[in-house]
Amino acid sequence: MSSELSNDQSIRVVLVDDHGIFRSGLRADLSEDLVIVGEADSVESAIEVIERERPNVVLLDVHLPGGRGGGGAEVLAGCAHLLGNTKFLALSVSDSAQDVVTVIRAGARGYVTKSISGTEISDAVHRVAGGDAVFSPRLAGFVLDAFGSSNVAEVTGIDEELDLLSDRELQVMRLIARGYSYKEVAKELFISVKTVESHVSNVLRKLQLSNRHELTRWAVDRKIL
Amino acid sequence: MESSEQRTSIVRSDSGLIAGVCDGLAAHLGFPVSYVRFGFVALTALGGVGVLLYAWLWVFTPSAEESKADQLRSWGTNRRTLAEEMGRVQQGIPSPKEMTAKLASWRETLIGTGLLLIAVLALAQWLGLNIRWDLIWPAIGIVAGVLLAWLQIDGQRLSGDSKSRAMVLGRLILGLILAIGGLLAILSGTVSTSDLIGGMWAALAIIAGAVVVLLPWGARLWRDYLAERSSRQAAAQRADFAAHLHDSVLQTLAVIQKRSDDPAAVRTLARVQERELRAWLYETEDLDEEDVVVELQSEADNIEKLMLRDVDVVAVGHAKGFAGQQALVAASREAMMNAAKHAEGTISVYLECNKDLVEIFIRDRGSGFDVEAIEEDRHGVRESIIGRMERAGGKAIIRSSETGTEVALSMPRSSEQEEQNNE
Repeated sequence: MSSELSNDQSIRVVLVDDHGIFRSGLRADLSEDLVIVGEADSVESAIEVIERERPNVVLLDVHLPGGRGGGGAEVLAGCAHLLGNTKFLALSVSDSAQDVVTVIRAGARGYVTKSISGTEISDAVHRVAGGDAVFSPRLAGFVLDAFGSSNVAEVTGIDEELDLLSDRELQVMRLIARGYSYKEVAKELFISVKTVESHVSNVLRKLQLSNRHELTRWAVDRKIL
Repeated sequence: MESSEQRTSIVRSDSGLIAGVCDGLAAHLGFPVSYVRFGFVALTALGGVGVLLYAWLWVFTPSAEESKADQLRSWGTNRRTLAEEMGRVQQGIPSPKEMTAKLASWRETLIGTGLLLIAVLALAQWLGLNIRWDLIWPAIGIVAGVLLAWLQIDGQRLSGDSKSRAMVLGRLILGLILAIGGLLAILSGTVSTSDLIGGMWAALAIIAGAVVVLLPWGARLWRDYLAERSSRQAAAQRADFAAHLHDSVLQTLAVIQKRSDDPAAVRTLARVQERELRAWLYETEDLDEEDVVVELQSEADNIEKLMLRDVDVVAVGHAKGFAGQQALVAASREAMMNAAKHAEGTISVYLECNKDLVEIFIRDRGSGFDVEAIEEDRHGVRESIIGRMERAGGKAIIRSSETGTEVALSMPRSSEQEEQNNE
């Protein structure tokens, strides 16, 4: 994953957001090694630009006009065959779970809120481009809520591999929910940042693939399945 | 969402030659229009099937404009931005909850009236009146069947999944059987069975003919009616929306303009407003005001407004009515206040309710302080956080370093005691 990117190579980014003001603000904010190769403002144009440019990272707004009304998740569905090489980082106006879990389940590697600073957003792009996941405290909180904050298997017959978090993953999620950065988590648990990243990536995979009934029920409640 | 290829549903285009059927069908199937047109002409040559098919599609596929209105009316699968949400509300769509409630109240009234009617009749017979039950039972059957069928009209639009649709269809058929059975039962008193069966075939033929002629017409009328109604509801809802926006959002925008020289204040104002608007638009679950999550969130909101600082609250689980809840919330408030006063950056608050423990972590990114030294001579932290928690049976641990301070509060809870308290 990260080996696909040599260090001196810049990261090619496509911006997808229907607000022109926000796009131009973001373009000015992003760090210099991020090259914006395309922009789009609707579901159709996003899929077209991503197909054409094959960027490393797509900054994808959760709410987008066009298509069948599915917003960012629909773009992800349309670009499903590119997910191996193109990483998607979702953007949302706030970090409420309902905005974000849909796009995460559709294949995004993480998300940031639109209110965060240019440095933070650039860091997140780098992280995603390197194959890692970007979790905010709120998303970590949602994961803990959905998977249960203690990993006692109350229900038998669940797929342990996908439907349960390991002790370490729980610890990492808890610290992220408490507002710790990956570096701080690593220091707290006496592990390397790389290990933290791999734990978070594992949790992301479980969040995307698990059929845990809390997740499906959550999705059905909010009509996102 | 199984297939990655997403096909648009058939919609008559506005730019067609006759009614836009070929255009719409071409878009749906992904063929060039000319092929589709040629297909229709060829089918027409084959005994006029093309004309029939064309007419059929004309009547039963919505035009582009109608389909747009339909989309706005239906409750889709996506969350929406504020603007979209407003647009939708302005179109005048009642929420599913409202509709269910309306339907339920209707049903109850009907059942009540029916039972009352039967009771009156029974009373009349008891008083000596000659009641023709052989006529009344079929009549009840007919009425019940008709009502059962008609009640499905609203239900059909409530939910679109195939399971409930099958249920609606089942009820419709049951209603039809009840009504027809009732009619036949009444007639069987006066007409002989063989005549009845012969007559039934004739009736079926007549009905079939009438349906073929009238159904498309009815469908058109129905669609017109729907469009009409939604525009009527729009005005009322728009007024409601405007009132809310004026009270909250416009006021905040005015304040933001006034304070535009203070970025921190503007940021916080925008945040507080965003949260409030979100709660108004999306909050569907009824929150319990005594829940520790809600209490902590409202304390955090207060500090955001008071100190103009960002406080991020992440909560996992719910709990209420445990012994040390008050002390826990008060100590958290104190810790958030300290963080807002002495540190910079976002304040992260994490609340976790387990079966036998409620934990709250308040973390800031200030320059930190020497916990040991301050605990000795400062009343604030010692009394209002540590002392308060210990008196209530909980624990408070403060850890501080140059990258920030974290206050960890924990309070044991026991489920039995809570159940008693909550009763």
